[in-house]
Amino acid sequence: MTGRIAELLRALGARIVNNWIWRLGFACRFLWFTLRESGASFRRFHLTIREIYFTGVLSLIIILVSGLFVGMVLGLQGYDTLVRYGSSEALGVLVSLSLVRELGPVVAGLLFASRAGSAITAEIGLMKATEQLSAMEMMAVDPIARVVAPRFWAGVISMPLLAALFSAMGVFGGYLVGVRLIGVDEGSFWSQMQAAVDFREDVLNGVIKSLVFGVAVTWIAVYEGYDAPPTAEGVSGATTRTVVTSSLAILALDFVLTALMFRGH
Amino acid sequence: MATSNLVEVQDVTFSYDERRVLKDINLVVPRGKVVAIMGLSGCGKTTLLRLIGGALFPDRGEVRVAGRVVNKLRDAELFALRRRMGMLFQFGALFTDMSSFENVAFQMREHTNLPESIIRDLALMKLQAVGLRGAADLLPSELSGGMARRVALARSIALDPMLMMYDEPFTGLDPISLGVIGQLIRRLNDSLGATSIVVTHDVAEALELVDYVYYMSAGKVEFQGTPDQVRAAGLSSLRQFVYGEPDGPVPFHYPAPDYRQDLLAQ
Amino acid sequence: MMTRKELDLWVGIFAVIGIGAMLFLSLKVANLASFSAADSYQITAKFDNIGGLKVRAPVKSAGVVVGRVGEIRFDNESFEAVVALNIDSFQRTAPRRS
Repeated sequence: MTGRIAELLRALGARIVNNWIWRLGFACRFLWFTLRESGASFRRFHLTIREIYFTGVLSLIIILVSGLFVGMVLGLQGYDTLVRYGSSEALGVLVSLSLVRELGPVVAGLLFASRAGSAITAEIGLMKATEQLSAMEMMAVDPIARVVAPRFWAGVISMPLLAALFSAMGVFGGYLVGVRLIGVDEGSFWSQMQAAVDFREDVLNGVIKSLVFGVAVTWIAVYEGYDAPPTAEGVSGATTRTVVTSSLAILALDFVLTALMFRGH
Repeated sequence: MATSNLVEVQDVTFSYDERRVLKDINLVVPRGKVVAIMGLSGCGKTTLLRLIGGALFPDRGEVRVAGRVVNKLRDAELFALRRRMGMLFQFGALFTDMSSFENVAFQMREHTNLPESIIRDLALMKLQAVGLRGAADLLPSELSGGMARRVALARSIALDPMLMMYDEPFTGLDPISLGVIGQLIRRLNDSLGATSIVVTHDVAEALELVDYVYYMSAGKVEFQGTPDQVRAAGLSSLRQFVYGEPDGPVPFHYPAPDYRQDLLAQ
Repeated sequence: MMTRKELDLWVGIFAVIGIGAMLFLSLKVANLASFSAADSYQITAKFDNIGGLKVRAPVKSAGVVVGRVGEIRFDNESFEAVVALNIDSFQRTAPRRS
C-alpha cells in the first residue's frame, strides 16, 4: 500500500521537475538570451515596427470594441447599484477607477494574450516546424535576434498603448450610457471623476500593470513558440498553453501588483 | 593548412539522448567534388550534415571544415564559417512572410553593407541561375514544390559559398524538376568552384550526378566508392538499396510473432 | 505583403492614438493638469499625530481641494510632526485639513 503511494509521489515529483522546473529554467535562460540579443531590435527598428503592426495594430479592433462594451456595461450596472444609495452622480468615478486601475490592464491583457500572444506562438512554432529557424541559423543569422526579440519588444510596447485605449474607450462607453442614455448629470460625471482619479496613483499604476502584463504575456508567447515540438499537435498545444498560462499569469500578477500598489488607500 | 579535402569527418560518434545515431564515422570530401551520402531513413545522414554545419557537436571525434575543427570554434568564428556554407533544406524552408526575391536577398542584407541596387542585381542573377527570375515577386505559398526548392537553392548560393549541402533535394519532385535540380547541383558546383555534399536516397539521380558515394547503414559507413563501383558492388545490403529489392538484409516483415498463431489466437 | 511605408503609417497611427488615450486618461479622467500647473505658497502645520496623512494627500477647504501635502517631517525637539502644505496661490484664507 505505502509502496504504491510512494510510487505515485515519485511519479508526480518527476513530472513536476521534468515539465515545470526544467521548462521554467529554460524559459528564464531564454528570456535572458532574448534581452541580450535585443540590440538589433532597436538598431534596425523597422523589424520591431513590423511586429508592432501585427501585435498592436491588428489587435485594435477587438480592444476598442471590447473596451466600449465593457464601459457601457459598467455604466449600466454601476448606475443600477449606485442609484439605490442615491449616489448616481458618482458613476463617473466608478467607471473610471474600475477601468484605469483594473479592467483596462487586465482585460486588455487577456485579449492581447488570446489574440496576439497565440499568433506569436503559432508563427514562431510554425517557423520552427518548417525548418525556417534552422535555415536562418545555417545562414549565420541568430533567430533569437532576428525573429524572437523584435516580437518580444513589440508586445511590450503595444500592451500599455492597448490598455490605455481600452480604458479610454471604456470611459467613453460609460459616458454614453450614463450621461446620454440614462441621464446622469454630465458635469458631475466628469468633475467627480477628475477629483477621484489621481494621475500617479491610478493612471500610472495602471500603466505599470500593463507593462508588467506585456512582458509576461509576450515572454510566454515567444518561449512557447520557440520550444514547441515541430509537429502540428506540438504547435497547437503550444498555442493553447500560451493563452492559458498568460491568462493565469495576468490574474496572479494583478493580485500581487494590486496588493502592492493599492493597499491602505 | 590547405589540404585537398574540404571536409573531414574523423572517428565521429554521436548519440541523441541515449540513441546512438553515428558510430566511428570516417569520411572525407575532396575540394571541388560532388559527394553523395546515401542510406535508408534514420541511418544518420541528416545528422551528419548537421554535424558538419556545426548545429550539433559530436560526442567523440572531430569534424573539420577547411582545416578548422567545427565544434571547437567560438560563436563568431562559427558564424563566419557558416557564411561560406550554403544549405538546401528538404522542403526549401523559405521564409514564408517574404517574396522569393526577398528570400534570396536575405543573406546579403543581413551580412553585407552593399547598397540596395547591387543587392537587387545580385539576387536577380541568382534567381536567373535557377531559372526563376520571373518568379521574383511571388510568395513561397504561390510556388510549386519544385519552384520553391529552386528558390531555396538560389537563396543558399547567395553569398557564393565554398561548401554546399543538400538535404534530400530530390524528395517529392516530379521528373522534370528532378532533372532540373540534378543539373543545377552539378552546374552550380562547377561554376562556383565549390564542393557539394548531397544527402539522398534517390539512387538513380545520385549515381548520375556525383563523383563519389558513401553508403551508410545503422550509423556506420558500410561502403564507399565511385558510382560505377557502387553499381557493381557485391555487398548485399547495398545491392538491395541500389536495386530496390523488397527483401534482403533489410527484411520485408517487421518483427512479429508466428503468423499462424497470430491468426488462430482469439 | 505590406510595404515598409504602409507599415510605418499604421504603426504611427497606432502610437498616436495610444498616446492620445493616455493623455485623455491623464488630463480628462485624472487631474494631472490641475495640480501641477498652479503656483503655490507653502505653510507649515504641526500635528501631535499625523494619523493617515500622506505626502500629496489633498488639502480641502469647504470640501474643495485647494492644495496638496508637501513634506512630512519629525521635529526632534518638540516631538511633533511638521507638515508642509502647498496651497494654490489664489486662496487667501488658511486651510483646515479635512
